[in-house]
Amino acid sequence: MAAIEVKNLSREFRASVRHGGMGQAARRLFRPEYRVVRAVEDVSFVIEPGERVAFIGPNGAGKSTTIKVLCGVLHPSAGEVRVAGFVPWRERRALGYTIGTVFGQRSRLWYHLPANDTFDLLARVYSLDNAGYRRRRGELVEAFAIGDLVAKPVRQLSLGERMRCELVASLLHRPGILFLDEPTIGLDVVAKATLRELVHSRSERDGTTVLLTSHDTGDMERVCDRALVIHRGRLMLDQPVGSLRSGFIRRKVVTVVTAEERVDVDLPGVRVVGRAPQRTVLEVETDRTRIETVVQAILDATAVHDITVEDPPLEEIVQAIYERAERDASPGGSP
Amino acid sequence: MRREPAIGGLRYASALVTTNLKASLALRGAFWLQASFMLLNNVTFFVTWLIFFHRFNEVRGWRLDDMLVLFAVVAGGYGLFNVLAGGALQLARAIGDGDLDPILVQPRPPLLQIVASRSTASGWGDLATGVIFLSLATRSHLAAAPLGLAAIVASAVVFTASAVLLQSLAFWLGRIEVVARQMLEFQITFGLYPSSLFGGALRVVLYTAIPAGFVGYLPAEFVRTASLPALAALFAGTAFFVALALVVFHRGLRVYESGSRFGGVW
Repeated sequence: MAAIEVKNLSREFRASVRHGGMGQAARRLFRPEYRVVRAVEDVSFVIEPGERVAFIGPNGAGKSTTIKVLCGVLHPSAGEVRVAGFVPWRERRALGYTIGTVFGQRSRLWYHLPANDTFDLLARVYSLDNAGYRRRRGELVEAFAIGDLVAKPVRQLSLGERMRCELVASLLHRPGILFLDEPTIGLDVVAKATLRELVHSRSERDGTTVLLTSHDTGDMERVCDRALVIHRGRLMLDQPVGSLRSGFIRRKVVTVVTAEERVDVDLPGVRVVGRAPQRTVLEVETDRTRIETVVQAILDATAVHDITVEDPPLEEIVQAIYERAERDASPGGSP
Repeated sequence: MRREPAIGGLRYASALVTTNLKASLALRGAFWLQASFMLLNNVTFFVTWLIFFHRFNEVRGWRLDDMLVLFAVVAGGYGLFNVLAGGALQLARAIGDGDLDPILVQPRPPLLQIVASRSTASGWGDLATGVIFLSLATRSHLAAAPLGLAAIVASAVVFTASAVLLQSLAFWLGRIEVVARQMLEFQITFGLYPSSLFGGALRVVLYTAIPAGFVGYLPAEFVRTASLPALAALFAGTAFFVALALVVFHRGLRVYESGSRFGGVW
């Protein structure tokens, strides 16, 4: 049985029209106008047990709406969904025992109490037996290095510390599926790295299926093996994270350190994008000139101290995906 | 579907109430200040009735002891509601801000978690007022004291149901927490006057649209008379408002739209 099955999922919202001046605003008090917003449109995918999947897209793409339907928070407008075999909005209570959730923008921890108090309450929420709960809590507290945090009131924790406690709270009942909605939002670089590593290692260890929404490509790269890209409510792409680069970018960056002041390469699709004494950065369009040809041309031209060939950052790749989606969606765009 | 033994549900409810009370007691200074000021406020308010009854002795059959019972039931009921189910007062805001999300993913009845996850410190002041006034009112006939406590519980249940009912309208109407609170204020205000002052259509309103009758007069009547009809009417009214609140809340959940505002726990 698949962990998550989504078939032709759509979710519409009715939003009131708010444009215009004061007069129109006053008129709408008596004659309100509404428009239908399609947050998610005809989305289908299947996630197998143990997969770690990133659900990425720009703000307003429909990521959070989809994950909230899968958790049973929102009712869909159309489509079929099964999570761990349950229809989320009809069997929310049964589903609750099998999923863990972290909403980056919503805390489950009681603000004025230490995280331990929330953990104790969650043990009752999930009907955990006392000995099993204590063992599991001890194991997670050690793994997430929050031993000195769990006795402090949550209001005294930093955001990064709080998010580690949130993750522990979501894992106490050993959920088979973990939903993470923007789990690194607002975190600094170190806290983000820690959280990503913890999610990845715990899911690998426990065999947990992870569905993570984020607009931070680092979350996808460090945690997930597969990416679903959503744009304007529609699923644009579903493929392994590793193949995103080869699939979408026909460009590499070559940085070369030479004995001479500079090196010039006159080949189609090769241009200089940075230059410093003894250091040249070239951008190569690989569908016009192969990278080996460029490297050979440099070696023929000068003595090379160092050379690196890199893909552009993943963020640029994702940007390229969004831009292609935008083109495809616009009138006259490619089919 | 997984079946939860009843004992698990009780353990959960008890843990929720305990956690809620711990959270409300966490800020000791604010707790004592709010609770004691509310008690002082209530006593000051009642002084007006003391002066009034000193001058007129009775109002359409209501004497000072009757007013003591009425005040005890309304203040005690409102206090108990605030202490154990104060989350109901935050429901409209939570619906508007999308703060129900973390509650809806848990395998427990969401309404129980919502109402029982906030306790208002001032509620302890109201509850203390209720207990003190009830003790004064029943000082010469102690047998009425348990009836008084039952009346306070019934009043608290109706207050909770009314708050859930009004605040759940936010599922359809948006940010109505101010209106919902004002309606509850109406309920308290009308509930604190002798029922004999109101008649005709207003009396109907006070048992339906603004159910002040079920948080004040009827439970107070039950304490004063210990009559079965009063008990039956109180039970029926309470059950009706609880059922209505549950239906409206669960209908509302179907159209819940969540939200993306940064939010915290209850």
